Amino acid sequence: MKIVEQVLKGDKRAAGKLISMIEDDDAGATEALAAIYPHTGKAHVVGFTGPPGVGKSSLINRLIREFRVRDRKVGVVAVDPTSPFTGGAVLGDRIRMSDTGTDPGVFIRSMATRGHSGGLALATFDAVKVLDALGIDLIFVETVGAGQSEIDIASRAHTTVVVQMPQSGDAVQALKAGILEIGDIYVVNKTDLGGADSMASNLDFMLEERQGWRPPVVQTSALEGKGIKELADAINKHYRYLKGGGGWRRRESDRARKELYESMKRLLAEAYSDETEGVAFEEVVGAIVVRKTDPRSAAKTLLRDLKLPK
Amino acid sequence: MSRPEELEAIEKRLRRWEETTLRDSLKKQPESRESFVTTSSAPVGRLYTPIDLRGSDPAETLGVPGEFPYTRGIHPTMYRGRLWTMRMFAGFGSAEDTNRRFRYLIDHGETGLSVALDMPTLYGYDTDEVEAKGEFGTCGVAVSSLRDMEVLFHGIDIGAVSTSMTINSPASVIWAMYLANAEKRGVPWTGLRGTIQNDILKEYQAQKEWMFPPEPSMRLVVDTFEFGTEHVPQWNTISISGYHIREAGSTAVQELAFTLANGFEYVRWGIDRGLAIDDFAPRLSFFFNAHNDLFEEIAKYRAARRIWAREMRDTFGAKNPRSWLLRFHSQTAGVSLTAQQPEVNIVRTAVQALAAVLGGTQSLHTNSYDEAFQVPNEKAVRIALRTQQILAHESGVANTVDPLGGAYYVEALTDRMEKEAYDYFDRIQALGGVIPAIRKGFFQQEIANSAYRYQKEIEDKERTIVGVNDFVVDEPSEVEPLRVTKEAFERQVRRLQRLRKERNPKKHAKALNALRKACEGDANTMPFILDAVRAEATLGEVCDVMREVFGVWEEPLLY
Amino acid sequence: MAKKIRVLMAKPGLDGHDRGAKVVARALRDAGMEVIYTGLRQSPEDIVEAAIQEDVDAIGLSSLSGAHMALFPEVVKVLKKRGAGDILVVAGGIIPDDDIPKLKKAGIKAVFGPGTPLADIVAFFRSSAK
Repeated sequence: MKIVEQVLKGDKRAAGKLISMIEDDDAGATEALAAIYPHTGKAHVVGFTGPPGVGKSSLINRLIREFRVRDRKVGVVAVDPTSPFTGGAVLGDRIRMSDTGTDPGVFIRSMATRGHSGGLALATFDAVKVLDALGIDLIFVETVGAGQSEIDIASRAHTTVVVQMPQSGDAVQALKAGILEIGDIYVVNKTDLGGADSMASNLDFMLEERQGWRPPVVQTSALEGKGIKELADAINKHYRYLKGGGGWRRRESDRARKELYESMKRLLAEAYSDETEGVAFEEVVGAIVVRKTDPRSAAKTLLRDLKLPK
Repeated sequence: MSRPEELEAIEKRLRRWEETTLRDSLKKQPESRESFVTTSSAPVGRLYTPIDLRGSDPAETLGVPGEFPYTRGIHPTMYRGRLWTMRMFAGFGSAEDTNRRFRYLIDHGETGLSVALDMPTLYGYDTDEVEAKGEFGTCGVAVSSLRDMEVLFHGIDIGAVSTSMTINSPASVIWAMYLANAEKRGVPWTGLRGTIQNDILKEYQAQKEWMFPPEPSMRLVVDTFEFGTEHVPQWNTISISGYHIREAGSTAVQELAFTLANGFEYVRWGIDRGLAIDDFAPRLSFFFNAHNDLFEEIAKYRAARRIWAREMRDTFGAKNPRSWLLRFHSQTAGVSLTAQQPEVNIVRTAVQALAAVLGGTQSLHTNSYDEAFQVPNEKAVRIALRTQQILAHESGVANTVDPLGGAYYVEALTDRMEKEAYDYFDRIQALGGVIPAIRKGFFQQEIANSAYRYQKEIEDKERTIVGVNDFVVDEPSEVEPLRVTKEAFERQVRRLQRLRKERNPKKHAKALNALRKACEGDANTMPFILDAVRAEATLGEVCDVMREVFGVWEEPLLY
Repeated sequence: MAKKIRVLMAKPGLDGHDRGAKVVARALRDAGMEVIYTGLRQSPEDIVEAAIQEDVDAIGLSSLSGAHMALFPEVVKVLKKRGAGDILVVAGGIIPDDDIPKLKKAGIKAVFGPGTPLADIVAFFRSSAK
């Protein structure tokens, strides 16, 4: 496919278009993703999660600059919610990352959550693969909010950065257990607000029992540009840890397992949606209603005979 | 305050009216709409009576003109003593073009000058910088150096006329140029009268023309307070502006509340600097919008005066009554002008100007009918000025003080807007104050929500805009174009290049270095900025030094 | 999933008046489109770069400061140079009638002046963006 060749040559326009194909569930996306897949797996993928308003975008903006100074090509996939009422979205993350303007070593893509049939995480990481194939070294994935699905996305990265801002001791105690388990790096942003020290030591204390990699707690002020170098160093250090036998392969397998499972579900869902329009399906419905069969047994039979789309 | 038995009698009478006269009337002729609202979508009742003012004591809430709380006006005689200043905002192209426009306006009876500066100047860039591309002189005059300032006021008696300059982020630099020009012409600073807008907070909230983050910006503002108090005592060192908040889409109450909250923030910063409140507060001035809804606007101005006086006296402890006065300039609503049937804008502007006058404004700008297209042409400006002159000399509205004082509707609306402003003060306080609320995007979000609602109302025809969504005609709008010439641009660039060649490089470098040190430390920057412009440093050069020391502001954008 | 219309809303030049751009952004959102808002003070190069990365169908430019003749055609030029001439460019703001034919000649597909109903703008994007 031409678009694949272009992406592999580093053509940003083609990369932009391919991500759109993925987002639109375009028929050609599956084939294109298959063609780029052997060329992926090189980039270091870093997920960012944390409640709205903690300054994730501003932090990423600072990190882009820092890693550009270190001569790494940087990509961002920023996910914002789609309005459930209109299906539209205003995607404003770019604005906080816009001071890298026309730097050829930066690629930022805003995605709306939409209603992806295979799940949002799958679409997000397909976009990540496109950036990987484009030759980006370091890819940041940012999701809005701190719900289960956002945490799920961030934790599929090689390195998961959990961003918080200074809070009272009680609030720290009340942090969701999930948040304390998934992070590889913890950031207390907005140190300019004060109270960051106690927040950081509280967090540090709570992370004490982690086995293996001991997540560092980094204090930053995206506003003042403080702590950015330390955060960048921590991200690199985690990368070296993973690569040095500390679990790169395991992270890749975890994600591959989830993606395989989700791809199967998605395929089934697609096949199934065709099937539900058929006469045979309605006949089975009728049989269930008159108690000739039951839904669970009928489902088994239907799936056994199901033809997958090509 | 009406006595309880009087109110009871009125209530009884009203109930009877509702059951008889009103009911019969509604039966024959129902009202045209289910509910009536102001331009800001605030509900308007059918009839206002003393019942609506229950609990409010006019001796306290209204008082008398020229006395606390100044609801009825800041002067005892208002326009019987002196009319408001007719001050037309003007500026385009080069300093020569605008100087010509100033003289034209003075010849036609204008009584104060108001300088509109172009976009690069507002952002602290020189005309020939790459950031300025395409922006020279299009919506104001370019002032890149002291030499431009000299040309701008050539032949104008700056010792006699008062000059307002709409400049914010680089306000201290432009003011320094004005002061240096006066110095060169031998006009003492103590005799200079005028205003610099210098209101950076509303830039972050609404107009979005900024250079530095809030804290260094506020420091520069307080530097001008301090410097002005000592050296230019008749100058208004700030014009705390609701105008742009409103233009960006706010409601009247939001304009009122955000502007006053900003005002209090400046006062706090002045006090924190160690200035005595009664030294600087009398030089704080205000600037409000005059929008379509006559009574809502009038109530807004009256509420503003009352809140300011009370807070200055009771919360901030100002002793000098001059510190309690909310003196304000007003401008008719640019955003209300239509590109369709533009001549009709003359009528809109007249009604809006009437609101400002009935609301007790100290000075007024009336928009020109062609401003939905361009910076106004001469003829359009003259009609706008004539509109004010008709209000002043023919309409009779200036003959008595606060003619609407005591009107049930206006007083009830004033009370309500006052209360709603205090609700906003509480919300801002809960967010940690004005600057944290800016960082959280609070004002920006509130304004954008109101702007969208207003537009939807027009779209859904809940709100009629004559010539736009009703009473439409299909004919091209005829407006005589005003163009900034290529010659003006070239003249300006040549002047800048000549200046850079002719000035004393040693003196120039020394002044900029001293300024850098001052910015890095905590000295008052004004004397250093003055030295820099005296050494013919350009606006862009001075601002570059400050940008390097202070950093630049990035907007927190929320949807 | 049906193809979504994606629009980049941008403020080129120094002009900070973003009321119109934001109102239009919300109207497009409410019409089910995805709007990428770039914020203020974008150069034509910034705008084109963002449009390519975001793979938008259209770019909406807004300016009230009078710099439109210097900045809007430049956006079209840079788009073509970057091989993205198929991205639609439309404009809004304070634009004198005389300038409209010149902008259209320079490749701006539509100019929406003051008072244009939001419904018209939405309809234009819907019918013109593929």
